[in-house]
Amino acid sequence: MNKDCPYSKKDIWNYYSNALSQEEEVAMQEHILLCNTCKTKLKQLRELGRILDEENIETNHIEIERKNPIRKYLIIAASIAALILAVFLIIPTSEKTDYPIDEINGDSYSTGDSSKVDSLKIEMKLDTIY
Amino acid sequence: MQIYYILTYLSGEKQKIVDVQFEECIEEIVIKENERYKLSTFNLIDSVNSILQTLFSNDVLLRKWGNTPFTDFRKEVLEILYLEHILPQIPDIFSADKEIYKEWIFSISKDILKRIQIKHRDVLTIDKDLDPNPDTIAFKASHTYLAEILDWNKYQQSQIILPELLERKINETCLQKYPIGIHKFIDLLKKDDRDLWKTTSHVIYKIAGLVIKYYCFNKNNSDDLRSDTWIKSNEKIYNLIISGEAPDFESGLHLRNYIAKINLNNLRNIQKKEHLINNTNVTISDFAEIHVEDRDSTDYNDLSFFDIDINNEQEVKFGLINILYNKPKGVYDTLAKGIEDKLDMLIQHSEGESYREIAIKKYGVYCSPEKLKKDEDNIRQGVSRAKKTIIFRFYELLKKQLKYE
Repeated sequence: MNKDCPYSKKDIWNYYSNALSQEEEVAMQEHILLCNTCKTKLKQLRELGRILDEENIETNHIEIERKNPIRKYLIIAASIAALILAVFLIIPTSEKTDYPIDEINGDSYSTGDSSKVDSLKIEMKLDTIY
Repeated sequence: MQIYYILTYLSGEKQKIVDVQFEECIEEIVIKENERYKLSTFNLIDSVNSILQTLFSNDVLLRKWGNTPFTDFRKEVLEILYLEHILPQIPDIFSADKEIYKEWIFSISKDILKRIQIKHRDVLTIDKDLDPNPDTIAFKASHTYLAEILDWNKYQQSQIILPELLERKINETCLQKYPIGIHKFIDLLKKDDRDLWKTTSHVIYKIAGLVIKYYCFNKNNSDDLRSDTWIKSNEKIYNLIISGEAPDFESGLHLRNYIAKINLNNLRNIQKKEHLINNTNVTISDFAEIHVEDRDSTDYNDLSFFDIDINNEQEVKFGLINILYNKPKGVYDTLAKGIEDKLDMLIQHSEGESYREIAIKKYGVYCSPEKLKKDEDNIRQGVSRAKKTIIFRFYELLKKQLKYE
């Protein structure tokens, strides 16, 4: 560790991840060329990228997914559940008890700050709905 | 070629003299330029290595080396890079596919907005009220909005523009048009802005979680209740805003409370149907206090981990590097569970250690060459499997985020 180096691991990450402005980047670039500690850290980041490139990220992910047989059975189970649910939904309900979802007029919710005052009103409203 | 350039810099009061190699300097300048402006991702350069070989034997650069300050030398390298290797082919690439051009601009703009957001972390924005953390609304790189504020045609006609200058122009525009306020945000939602709707769904999901947490006595089925509530609320809010039936929101707080109210109503309907008991003591104002706690934990430095396009392999890879290098709390623990030791070896390998060196470190040097070879192979295979596992888990995590869409 170079004790004279003013930059941290985070600074190197910011350089690598394009989080610096153009001016900051140029200054950092010059420093990196001069500082072995920072150079090593940056090299590690790029090496990580190269190691990950060895795997075809997208294909690898799909392959693992294909190897997972449980997923197949879960899809079948979900389809059956959806079918049963659909049958129940077709049967009409005699009682309509839904709250009007978009009933947001009046003082039942706060439109800004002063939450303390609004909170009392909300409580009353909720009780009356029930 | 062993040409050295002596650079000096001041560190405290001591002046240091360091040797920097000509090739090393050019390589860093070109690689960074490629990383910043995604030149190879968008096929603006074929091969960094072949360009580097040409630059290493460039007479102008060789002449300037050793008697030019770093910033001027860098400028020279970039001018040669663009004039000789990139700009001549840009018109062909972009005129063949205008969408690629737009995606390139979008990609540069995304980084610009990330930088603006980091610089404006203390500015009060709509994010403070709606708490889309770790995402953002105020500085969101939205295709719809950027297409509205950036003059694509003007940029495309002046193609002899260096990315550095292009970035300055975009930066100027973004500084004027960002952060997005409540009225612009709703306006963009009405235009069915997919990027902003994705974040809004995330906000609705977060608020649904708070509503469930503080309104339900029985926590056993809270995940299902949250999902059901969120699905209904998301659809309702989408329809209300798109149709223009939603009220004129005065602030982010107003919108947040509106979302909370709709979530609450949906939850109560579900509870009533399922005969569940609720906590009537909790009010919407309680959610405001909870949000304050959440907001304080925002870490803007981990932004690059989020807002990843799952279809963009480079962005996914970048997110993974972030996780492996910075080990963000919580996320790293989840993704690395059970394979921590293998990932540590992966990190060691990225630091320059060979698998053989790692094996010696782990099992000792006093074993037979056959045993050492076997250990080395085991480590290599283990690291390879761990790599596949973390990629898989990361995709699953990203997909989980996408379910809010």
